[in-house]
Amino acid sequence: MENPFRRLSKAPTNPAVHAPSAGLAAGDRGTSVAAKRKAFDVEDLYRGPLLDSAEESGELDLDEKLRQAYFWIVNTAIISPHYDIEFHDGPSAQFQLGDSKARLTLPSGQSYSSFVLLPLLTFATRTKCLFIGGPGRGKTASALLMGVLAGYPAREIRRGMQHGHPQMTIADLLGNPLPADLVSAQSMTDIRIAWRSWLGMRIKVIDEYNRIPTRTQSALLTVMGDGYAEVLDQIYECPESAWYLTANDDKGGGTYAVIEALRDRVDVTVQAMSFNSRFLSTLLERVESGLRPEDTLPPEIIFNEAQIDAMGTQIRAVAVPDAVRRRIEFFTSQFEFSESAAVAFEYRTKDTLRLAGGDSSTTTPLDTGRDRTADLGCQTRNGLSVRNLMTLLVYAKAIAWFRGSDEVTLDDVGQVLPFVLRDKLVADTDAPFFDANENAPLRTDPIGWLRTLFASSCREFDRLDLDRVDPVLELQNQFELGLDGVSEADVRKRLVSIEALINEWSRGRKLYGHLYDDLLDLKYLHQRYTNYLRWLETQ
Amino acid sequence: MSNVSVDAPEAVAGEREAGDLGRATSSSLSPAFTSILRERRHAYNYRWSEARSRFPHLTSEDAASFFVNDLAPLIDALAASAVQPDQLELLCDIAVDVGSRATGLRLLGVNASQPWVTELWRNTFPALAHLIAANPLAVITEMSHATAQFSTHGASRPQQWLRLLTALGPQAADLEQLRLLGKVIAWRSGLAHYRTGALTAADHLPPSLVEPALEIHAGQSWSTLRVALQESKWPASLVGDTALLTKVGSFRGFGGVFLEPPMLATHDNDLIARSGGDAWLVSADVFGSTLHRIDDDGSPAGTTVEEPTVILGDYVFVGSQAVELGAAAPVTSAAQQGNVLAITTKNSHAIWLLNTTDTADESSDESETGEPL
Repeated sequence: MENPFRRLSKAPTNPAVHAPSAGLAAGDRGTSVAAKRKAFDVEDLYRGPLLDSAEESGELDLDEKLRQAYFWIVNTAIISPHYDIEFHDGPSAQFQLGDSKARLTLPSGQSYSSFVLLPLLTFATRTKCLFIGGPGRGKTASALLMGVLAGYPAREIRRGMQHGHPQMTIADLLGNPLPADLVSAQSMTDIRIAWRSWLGMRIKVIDEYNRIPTRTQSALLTVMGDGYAEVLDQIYECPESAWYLTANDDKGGGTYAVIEALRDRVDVTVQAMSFNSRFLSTLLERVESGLRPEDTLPPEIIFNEAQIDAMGTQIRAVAVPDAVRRRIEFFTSQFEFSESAAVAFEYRTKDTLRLAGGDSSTTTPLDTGRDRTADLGCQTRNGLSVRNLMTLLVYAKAIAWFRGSDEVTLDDVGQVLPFVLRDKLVADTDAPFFDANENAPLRTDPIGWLRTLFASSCREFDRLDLDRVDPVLELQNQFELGLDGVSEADVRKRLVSIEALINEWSRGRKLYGHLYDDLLDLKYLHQRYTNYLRWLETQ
Repeated sequence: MSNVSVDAPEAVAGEREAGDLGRATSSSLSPAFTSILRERRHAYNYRWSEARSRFPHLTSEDAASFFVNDLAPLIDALAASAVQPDQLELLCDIAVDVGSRATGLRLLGVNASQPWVTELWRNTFPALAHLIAANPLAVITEMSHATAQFSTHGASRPQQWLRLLTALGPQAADLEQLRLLGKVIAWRSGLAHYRTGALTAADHLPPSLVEPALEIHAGQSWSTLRVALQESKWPASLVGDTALLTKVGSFRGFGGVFLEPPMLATHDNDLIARSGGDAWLVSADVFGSTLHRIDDDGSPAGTTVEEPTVILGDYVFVGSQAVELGAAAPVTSAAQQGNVLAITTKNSHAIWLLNTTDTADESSDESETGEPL
């Protein structure tokens, strides 16, 4: 009987990326005179051994290999007909169904299942992914597959998997001191630790992490956050790893509440979707074959360490165009501002409020004059952290790379953003925005809400025409050219421009989050010029 | 299990105790770089331990030297060019990935077989900071690869490559323009076999970059020279009436490729040199020369010598000039290619390229020559 799990597409998974390239093919090269002369391709100047050897030897490109892995998992291993990460290549058919006018889109571009794609991007970027969802939906199985993709035998991954339970101790998690050393040691440094083997693995799986006791969670935090384990003053340096955690509940429930710092270390949160009954026949085929997907992963899609390293390097090299970066900046700037949180301008933030034990939902109504339905900042209880933004950039690059592009598009950002910011950007469900009938379901749909939020932010960016008219960006660009050789007269002129801009904004304009960030930026520029001017005056 | 196999940043100490290097070098590192090293300590430790598993000869001193001497100038330049801290960290990650591999391959660092890639990292990359910030992997790997190529062609001029790249690279608007510029500079610095591609690349660059890249002297223009270079590998406007254009190749014991004095052959318009059972394709023009090993296809030896060249004893008379072969004589083989006569001699491992253009009747031409002449 044919092994159903060994089927692997031979066709390029994204033909647009793999169109034949012009120029001399590798097979044309030789050492005869004519061939040698033909082989003098000036592009060879830039080729050499510093890129991954697999690429040089003409094996599959790594992005193509990862796409092969994706399609193998999605088509044969984890039965997932949910294509919730949608990309459009031209017009897409849309339908409205039912009394609620539920919109169904048939994407015209290659679209993906978040439950498979995001763990794979986590694998490629060595970050941390949390699976949430009810029991038996494939959370652990998906994590297991990621381990096998990294070249580990399935058995080793299963053994290395940490299962959270209420009695789990730090020694259970990290390792035990050797009993003989405990008796004979003269100092702490003499005590050797029998470290748990999972610490050295490049794929780390923590099952039901919300059942781990709080103290053990703190030890886990050190491993997750800082990459090392510590027991009795002994340190174990862990290799860079991709992490997969599972939980039945994404609200921190479970036997123990998950400590905030640990939750904050999770980079993306992915929901395991329900089983589609139309795929029962595939399930039946699997039962009858007696095969488990993790035991039958095609070797062509297993990545070695160097390839995983190379994937990370390639992903980091994907460019974020200025126009995309500006929209991310604009989106980010919406949320931290809280006009009534403080008197000092710099402290008018939701974080100030949080530190004082306040609640933005009670103070936001005091922010008079603004349209609380239109102001996106009113929809959240907090702002975004630097860690969130870094993660967003990494995943945006990763999905762009996965799609075969060398630069990030706005669609890439829009598709990964909800999974990165889920649980990070907390919705204020008492906000007027959610009172509208069409928005009420967004109270329980964080992915949908975050998508809507980003789309609204981009619309507002367009409405303000910031692509074309952005005086703050102009001032920033002018400053970034450097101060060397800038005359005193020019500095004074620039200071006047900054003050004039702020003065213009102060005339009756409402204060929104993005303006708040811009004003702080202008203050920064003003201060830099002021200091420079003072220095010039002393010369 | 060891606790720390190679302790990179702030403590790239390897077998030393963690923190040694940090204490030893922290005063020489900028705050921005120190901050990254502290933040990414575990990641870099891991990367270096990985590199050491691939390249067992790597030592902790190599790692320390890389961070302090090779990487720090680039990171400082990036920090000075207002790269955001989080972006700077990503750039540093990429540089560490490439740098550890380059060090392992002995292209970079104190144990590198040639110093050029190390000079590139230390002196040129800081000047290219804005381009690296935009395309770190491409700029770092591609320029390192290009520089490493100079090590494989003995007659090329890596110092010239680095000097021109450092001076002109910062003027490139983006990665694509840097690539084009690099091709032109590589050709100008002696990689003659890239002549065709480099000429095409030059067509896509503004004259303000091409002219300094080719070191065109005042009074000459790129548009004029472009036509001349297309027509001849040895344009008269550059070589003038110089009789001996250049010598190509030398004895293997002195760093060349020939085991014994070569003999010439031709294949179509290509010049072939045979020596000690090996065959080499000779690629030479006004900017330099390179030799490329090929399969010997038995092309007939070159013997045709066109007028007005006369070989007489220790002298080769080229037009109105005579080139003295001295101790190298007598001539053992010769091959004419356009206005260039290639000869080999019994007592020399070099191929002599002689200018057979008779300039006696021509109006006074510019006699400026390129560096190899």
